[in-house]
This record gives sequence, C-alpha cells and structure tokens, in this order.
Amino acid sequence: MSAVGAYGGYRRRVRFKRPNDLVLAVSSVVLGAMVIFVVFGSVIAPQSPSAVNLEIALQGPSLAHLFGTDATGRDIFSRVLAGARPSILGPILIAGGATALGTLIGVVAAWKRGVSDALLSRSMEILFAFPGLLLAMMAVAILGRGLTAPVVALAIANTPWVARIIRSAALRERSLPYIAASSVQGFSGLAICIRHVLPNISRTIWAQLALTFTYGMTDLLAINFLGLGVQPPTPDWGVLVNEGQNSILQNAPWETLFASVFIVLTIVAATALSARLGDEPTAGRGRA
Amino acid sequence: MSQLLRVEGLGVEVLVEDRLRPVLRDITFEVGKGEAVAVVGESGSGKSMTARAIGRLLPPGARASGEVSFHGESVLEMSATALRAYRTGGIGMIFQDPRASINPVLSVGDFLTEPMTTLRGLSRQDARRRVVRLLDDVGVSRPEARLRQYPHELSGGLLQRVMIAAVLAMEPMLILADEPTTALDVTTQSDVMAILDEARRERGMGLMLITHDLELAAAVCDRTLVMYGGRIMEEQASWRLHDAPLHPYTAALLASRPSLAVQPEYLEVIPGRPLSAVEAPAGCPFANRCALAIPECSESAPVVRKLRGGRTSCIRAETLAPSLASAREAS
Amino acid sequence: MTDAVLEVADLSKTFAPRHGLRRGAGHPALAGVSFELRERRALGVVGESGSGKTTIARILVGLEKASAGDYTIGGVDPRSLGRGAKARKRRARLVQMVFQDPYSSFDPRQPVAESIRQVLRLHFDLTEAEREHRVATLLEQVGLDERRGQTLPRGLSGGERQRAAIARALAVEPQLVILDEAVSALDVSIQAQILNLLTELRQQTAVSYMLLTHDLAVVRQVADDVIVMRDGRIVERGATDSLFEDPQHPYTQLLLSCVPRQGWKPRRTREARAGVG
Repeated sequence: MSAVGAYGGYRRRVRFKRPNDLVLAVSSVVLGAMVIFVVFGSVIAPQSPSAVNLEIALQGPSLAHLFGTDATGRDIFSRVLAGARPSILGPILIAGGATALGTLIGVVAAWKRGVSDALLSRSMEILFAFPGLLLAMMAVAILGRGLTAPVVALAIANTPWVARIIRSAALRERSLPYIAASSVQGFSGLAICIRHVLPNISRTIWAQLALTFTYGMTDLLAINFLGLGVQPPTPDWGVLVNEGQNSILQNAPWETLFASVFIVLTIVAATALSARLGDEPTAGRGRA
Repeated sequence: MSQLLRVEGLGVEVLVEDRLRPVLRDITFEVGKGEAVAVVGESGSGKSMTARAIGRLLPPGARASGEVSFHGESVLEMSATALRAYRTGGIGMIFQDPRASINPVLSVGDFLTEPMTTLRGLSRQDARRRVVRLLDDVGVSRPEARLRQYPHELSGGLLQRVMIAAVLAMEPMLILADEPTTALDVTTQSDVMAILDEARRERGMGLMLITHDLELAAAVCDRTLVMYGGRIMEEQASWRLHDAPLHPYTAALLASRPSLAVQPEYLEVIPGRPLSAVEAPAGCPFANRCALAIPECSESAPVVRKLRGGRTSCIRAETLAPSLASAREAS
Repeated sequence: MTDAVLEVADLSKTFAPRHGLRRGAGHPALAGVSFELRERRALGVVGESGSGKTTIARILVGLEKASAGDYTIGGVDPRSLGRGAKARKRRARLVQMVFQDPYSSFDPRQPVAESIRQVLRLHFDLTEAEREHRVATLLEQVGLDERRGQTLPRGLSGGERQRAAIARALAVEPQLVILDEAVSALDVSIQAQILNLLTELRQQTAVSYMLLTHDLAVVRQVADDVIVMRDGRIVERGATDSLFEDPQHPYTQLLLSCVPRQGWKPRRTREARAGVG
C-alpha cells in the first residue's frame, strides 16, 4: 500500500457543528432549570410538599396536581421540585470534592513525576479497588444514616477516576515547550501549575466535574433508595422512587415515574455537557 | 506520449469557514517519464495542495477544476476502481512525517508485505524476500531483523527509508514526494535523495519533489517550479533558475538564503510574511512585498507565459530579466 | 578565570533506561564535552540528531541534570545556587533559551506581551509604568508593534512568535541565550529576517549566543565559533571561517559534503559514515 496519509495541509477550523450545538443548548437549559429548582424549589412549588390529604391520594395528573398525588395525598409536583435540592446538592458535593482532590493529586503527580508520582498513582490504584457504593454503605454502617457519610465516602471513591484523567491531561500539557520555557524563566513549579497548567486543562476539569456529578447522583440515588441516606419525609428523588413502588401496583405509578424522569433528565444533561466539554475544537494551525 | 503527468489550468477551492475560497489558481505543468521536477514554495504557497490534487486527496468539501491527467487519463474524473489502481501502481506518495502515515500497530514486515500479498497476489515468502531486498536497496541495515520491529523502535530517518521502500515496492510510474527529507539529518537527506534518484534512473520513474529547499531542488531535479500564494511564479531548468531567475520572488528567495560561500553582514530580506494562498488577492500575490512592483501588478491576474526557455508570470519579466540575472552573478 | 561567559568541563550525561521504549538507553548522550564561549561571541553548535547538542542546552538551562562534569555561566556554577525558587530565579538571569517550535513555546491563552510582562514582574522591581515601557521597548527591539504584542500566539505567524520568544528571553537580561534550532521551523524568507535580527541584537546588547542547529549555512552566517558534535562528543572546533574553509575532521567534511548546492549530487553516505567512525 503506498503511503497515503490523512489530509494534511489545510486543517479546517472546526466550528461548533449544528447537532452538537443543539445538544449543548438543551442540556444547559435542563441543568439551568434544575439549578433554579435547587435554589427555589420549595418556594415555587404550588403546594406544600408535606401537605397530607388522604382524600385525594393516588390521583393522576390534573391541572391542580400536575404530576398527581402520592399515597398520602401529597402533591407530587411540589415534592419533586422540593426534592431537587437534596437530590442534586449531594452529587454536587461529591463531584466538587472528588474533582478538587483528584485535580490536586493528578497535577501534583504529573508535575513531580518520579517517586511522588509513583506513590500517588499506587494509592489511587488501591482506591480503585473499592466500589463506591460499597464504601458508601460501609460509611453509613459506621457513621449512621444521613447525607454526610455517603457523600464523603463517594467523594473519596470517585477521586481516583478524576485523578487519573487529570494526571494524563496535565502530563500532556507539561510536555509542551511553553512549560519548559516558564521553568527556564525562573517561575516556580507551583506558579506554573496554577498559572499555566490548570487553565489549559480547565475544560477537562469541568468535564470531569460534570461526569462525576452523574456517577455521584446515580450512587447516591441507590443509597437513598435503600433508605441508607436521606430519610423520608425529605422528598429526595431516590426516596420518591422508593416510596412510589407500592403505588405502582395500585395503578398509580406517578410518583416513581416523574421522579425517575427528573433523575434521567438531569443525568443525561450532565453527561451530554461533560461530553461536549471534552471535545476540543481543533485550533487552526499553519506554518511560519 | 511521454508525458506521465499533465496538469493544466488546475484550480482548487477549499471550504474556509463555510465558504469556498480558491487556494490554487491556474496551475499548469508536466512531468515526463524519468523526469524530476521540483515544486518549491514557502508555507501557504499551495505546493502541498497541488500534490494532493494530483493524488485526489483533497480535504472534504474542496472542489477541483481544470485538468490532471496521468497517462492521458483524467485523474479528477476517474472511477473508484481506476483510482485505486492509480494510487497503488500509478503514483506513489511520500510524506514529510513518516510517523503520521504509518500504522503504529503493524510491524514493519506486516506493513510492507501486506500490499504485496493483497494487491499483487504474491505468496508470503515471496513478499518477504522482495521486501528484504528492497530494504537492503534503500540502505536499511539488518533487514530481516527490521521486519519484526515496530515503527516506534525506528528513528525518523530509518522510518522514512521504510516508507520509500513501501512506495517503491508498488513500482509506481511517478513518485510524489512532499518534503520527504525536511525532518531528517543532512546526511540522511543525502542518502534518501540518492535512493530516489537511483530508483528514478533505474526504473524510468518520474519524480515530483515538493520542497522549500531551493538548493535541494536544483541539485536533484531537472526543472524547478516556484509557487507563491497558490500560483506558479516561474518554471525553468533548475541550474538556470539559480543563475537567471525570471521572477522577482525567486530572486528575492535566492538572496535571502544564507550560503556557505558568502556571508553578507545582513541578508537581503523580503519584508512581511509569506502570503497564504487563501488570502491571495486578484492580481499578483507577491505584489505587496515586491520591491519591483508597479501598480499594474495588483490589477490584473498574472498569466504564465514562455520566456527565455522557461515560463514566468511576472508582467515585468522581460524588463527585469537582465537585472535579476546580473544580481545573481554579483552574489 | 577568563572573560568566558560559558565554561563547560567534561560534561557527561547518560539517560537511564525507561521501560525499554527509550532507544539507545544506557548509551551516553554526552561523553565528556568541554568547551567555552567568550563574552559577546556567538557559538554555533552543529550536529545531527543524537549528537547531544540539545542535551547540553537542556543541562545548561536546568531542564536536565548532568551525570558528571562541571559548567559555569558568567563565572557561576548554577548548581551551587541551591534549590528552590530563589535559585531558579538566579539561574534564569544567567541563561535563557529560545525553543525550536514557535507554536507551543507560548501559553496559548495569553497574549505574548503578557508572557513578557510576567517575566519582568518575576525578576524586576518595577512600577507598572516602567514595566509597560520595558515591554514595549523589547517588542520594538524585535520588530513587533504593540498590536502584535496584544495578540494571542495563534494569531501570530511562526516568525512573529520567534521574535516574541527572543524578546521574552532578552527580558530577563541573561548573560547567555541558547537558541535551539530556533529558525529551523521557519520559512526561508522569515528565517532570513530572524537571522538579521540576531545580528542586530548582537550589536545592541551584551548578550552571548549559543546557536544549536543542523543547518550549516545558518551557522556560517551567524556564528563566530563553531563546535561540531557527533554521538555526544566534540569532533572539531574552531573559528567559523577557518572550519568551513578547511575542515579537518572527516565527519565535518562529510557534513559539508552533504549540503545541497548547485552542482551537488546526492550520494549514499553509508560507506563514508562508516569510515568516519
């Protein structure tokens, strides 16, 4: 086969193509809405999330109750909105914690190389061995139910995933001449990492944040579903899914359904955003 | 007809930010059997795009007009089958960075023998024997051992020789080499060019060498074409181009190169930077940097015409030719 | 101690083998190299790949550690400065480097003037006005206007980026500037501009230069003295003119014989190279 290479010469400036743009826009809208619910959920809810009224229990969606009512007559729509905060806050804390710690470890390992890198990488590898969910359950067993234990445990469990990605991104950045140039100019390693490495890998960091958010959310939901995390009557979405189980058998799947829809929407939007952030548009390059 | 390759009025437009912009205009030249032609230019001159047009490897969305014919057959209109035959036995392409055009997960042996067994129907033993002989021809030491090695284990120079062996194995009639030695040491460059030159003589192959190195072009090729801003500036027999350039751009390029022979305190410099073919204006692309330009230069599109045994697109060529030649003599 | 800006004595470097992917590991990259560079002179270091010239440069600027041997820049052994931020800064005032690839020697997110400004801020105690003035002066010295200074690296051509890189190196006011194949990636006409710039700067500043290149014509144009390297050793040294006119070592002769010029015919060098040893 003769040496036929890829088309070089003119590298097109890749603009944001249409379909990707749409995905980005929709994801942003969805996540934006979720953020509003997190902050203002209980306030904008039409009814009180805890208003019990057995007479209107298990009703389907209507104008008064957009998502229907649950087994004790509470408005599902209001509960879902109010549930945004506990459902999303936890994952945000997990994502934030894991990303901060993972970025720190990844960048330090990439910068120092040698023994420090080996130590950090091996430690991360050990952590990889523990499934997040299991760690979270162990934490609950030791520290008791609630949000704190699982969040801390999941943040730690997700750290090595972030650390590995950030380390390789930082290694790549570090190998570029401008980093060596900064070193030669007399800047300290800390200054270079903060001023040059971090900003240039920021897209990767944001992408990891969004992705870890989705993993955190999934794991935390399972914890809440199992009753180990947030306790009822807090309308966390995982709790709602759990509570709504019995209602399904009575032909009223609304609680579980709508809580699940919100969960899926959030996770898909965050995943799409993370994927989009991970795409680096190719910068136009030429010669001389 | 002895014309291996005929390019006539070739124009190429590419997609730049969703619009078609011309990057090659009015490219006309020929390469005959056994001939070596150099295409010299700086970045943005369009020299690589010309090679791609000849190989029909244009970027997506690009459009070519004019004529490119190989052995009388139009390349731009070939069917898929004809195109395959063209690319695997008509022409062979060698690129600047061998690492970018080789499959890193194939061993050298697999890479070289695969086309022979699949395209030429040789048995594996026969293919291996041919490959070993080829590697020896191109100066690769210990060829049998090399077959088992992988691209990352070989130096750039060695890898480029492997690529040349791969191309020669298909016995093309014309080789298009796009900056094949730019990334190589000067001694390796000498080797590689010697190999291509030998192959050309022994097999009657045509060679189209794309380079930025005017001296290399002069040493290896019979004729040199100078491109700038997507157009041909001049074409002449290589030795004559150096002594009596027909275009101010060529003269300026020759003067700005440091030489082993003479060292003026300051080199004669062309102000500004080389124009990218995409930005080329309607008139002569070199007009805004040319010390000898007159208003007419920017007004009308330059037309390549014959002059003194060569071709040039400078409208002032007749007037300037004597002074350009004597300037070269002085340096 | 003479007025030598750079003195290198018996410098050696052997790279430790790493996972077997490093070719030639265990083989010395530098095997006892000694040379000196006098004040305000330009030294050309000629060698092909694997000759060790880049290794020397990286050791001098502190990106690699020598395995053995000594060197002083401006009479100071940089290793005696200790470790840590202050030592790094002091070393930076001794020697700076301009890298080969103009595309990635600047932070892509900062305008080039900002890179220069940061360097000034690190090393000198200037008021903001003084600093801005200095940045403008440096840019002007290398032929870049303020608008170019405010541009991101990707908006500048390769030649303009190298000019900015030279300005940045000079901003530190070092004694020695090493140019590692700094013009190799540039177009011929741009290369000429940069070479002229170097000639001009040599007259304007007291900086000494070390130019690493494989291009013999460039060395001839710019360097006062030359050392020729091969396989980690210096095979020949001398003033540029005499070395080029009358090369003594067969390897130097081989290199010169391989430079394309009119009348030159490419030839296989295998036998010639074997003869050179």
